[in-house]
Amino acid sequence: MGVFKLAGMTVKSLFSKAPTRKYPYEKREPFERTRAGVMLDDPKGCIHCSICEKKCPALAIKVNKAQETWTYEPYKCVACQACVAACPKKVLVTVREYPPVTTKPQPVVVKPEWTPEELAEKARLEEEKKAKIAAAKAAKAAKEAAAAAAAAAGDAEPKEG
Amino acid sequence: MSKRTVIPFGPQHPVLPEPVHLDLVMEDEKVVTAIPRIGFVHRGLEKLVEKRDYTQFVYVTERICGICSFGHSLGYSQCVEQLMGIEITERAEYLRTIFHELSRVHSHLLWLGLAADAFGHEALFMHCWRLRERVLDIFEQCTGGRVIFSACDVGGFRQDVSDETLAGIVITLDKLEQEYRQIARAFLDDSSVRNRLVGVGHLSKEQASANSLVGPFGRASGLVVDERLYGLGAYGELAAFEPVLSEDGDCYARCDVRIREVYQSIAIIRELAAKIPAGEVMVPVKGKPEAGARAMSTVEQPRGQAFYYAVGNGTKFLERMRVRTPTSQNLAGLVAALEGCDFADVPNIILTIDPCISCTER
Repeated sequence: MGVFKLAGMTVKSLFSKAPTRKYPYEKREPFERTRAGVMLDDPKGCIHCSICEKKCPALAIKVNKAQETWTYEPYKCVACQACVAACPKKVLVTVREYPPVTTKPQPVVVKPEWTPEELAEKARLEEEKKAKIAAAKAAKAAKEAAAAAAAAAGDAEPKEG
Repeated sequence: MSKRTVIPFGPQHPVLPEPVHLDLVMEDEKVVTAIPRIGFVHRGLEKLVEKRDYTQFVYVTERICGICSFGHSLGYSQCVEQLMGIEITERAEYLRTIFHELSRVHSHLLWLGLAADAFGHEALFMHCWRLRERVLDIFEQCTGGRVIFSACDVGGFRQDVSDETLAGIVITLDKLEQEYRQIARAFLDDSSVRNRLVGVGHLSKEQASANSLVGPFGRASGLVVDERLYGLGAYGELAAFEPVLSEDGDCYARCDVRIREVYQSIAIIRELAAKIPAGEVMVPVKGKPEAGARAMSTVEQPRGQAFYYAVGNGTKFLERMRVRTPTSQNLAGLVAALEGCDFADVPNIILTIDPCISCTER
């Protein structure tokens, strides 16, 4: 009889532990793979390449290279982790805790705070890079000029002959 | 002939999880005909394919519907892989099939709960959803999402699930099956449940065939319709596959078919988890779909056959993306089943087709 089966289940539930939790006072630890959002873990490591902005299907990330800002809207994010997978510097990390309840969602702006020494180091590296690029360009131009001269000489030879 | 009245049913109704409107033309207590109207949750997701590229669109297809989200991402991924000639690894095929069957278990448990709620059995509703919660925990543990997994992607499966975790899933499902057996007995043997379901909303095999019914709704009328029979994905690796059928064609038969399908899904997961091959789960995806390339694929969703069609245009955006979902097929059957029924049985009949209006309207 089905009625007694159901009565048995009900009696069992009366004496067993409650399957529910008193959320939000009692929270369960999120699983290792739980996805609730993303965050820029190391702002100084970010190169502001905008790949995360291009990959985001929800348009929740905005990157400004000139101002070095990374802007993220937690309430637009769908936690798909496409940006985390695409990040070339691996500085984006998965957030496992959900953002708190709010009526006024605010974007999170992350900007690296450089110390004067770091700024100087950055400027030095930038100068070195520029010098390298200039040297490479000069070398390329010299190579091209040499090649052109050789070609001109090569062209001239048969005429003489 | 007595006077006819029209009673509006929905779009807001306690039995409906999603909005659908029905104009019920009544003669006394009998429904003469029902006129359905949809369009309350249309979001224009097919149009969005022009704004999101083919790798981003997989996240959009997942959001077509919350309950069959994995099936939609699976169907879309299969379709784009055909379009671009990508061959995915065998392990990814197995994982996709295992998670598709797990989402069938969760969808049917959700439906059983809703059905119990529709005929007024609150306790049974809570027991079904209690079991469903364990399946959702499996999802969160393996993929990170409870409802929207973002696990299936063009090129395979995003995160590998270890063999130990798969063995753990099988153990969890074994325990779940024992408790589920009790609940299933309460559904199938309880006299009060039988009184509400047996002989209600009957559709014969001929009617089911004429209305092209799909999924458990069609199978409950004896129609052999199941995409899994064609052995796409890892279904071809199963030792045997028999669709769950019933000949009665009433609400009770639909309930019975879904209850037995949960056992079938658990058996499929058990078999595939035992013989899953080792290897990579993602293959690199490069390039763009060619202009004019067309592809189509089908998936057996928890509610029946879903059809996907995609056309490329040489850029990273698709030219066209089309989804035909099971409920849009089954609405015709719903109207046929409602003809001549009692007014009090209308909620039960609507619920036993397992309508998914968000899928239908996209």
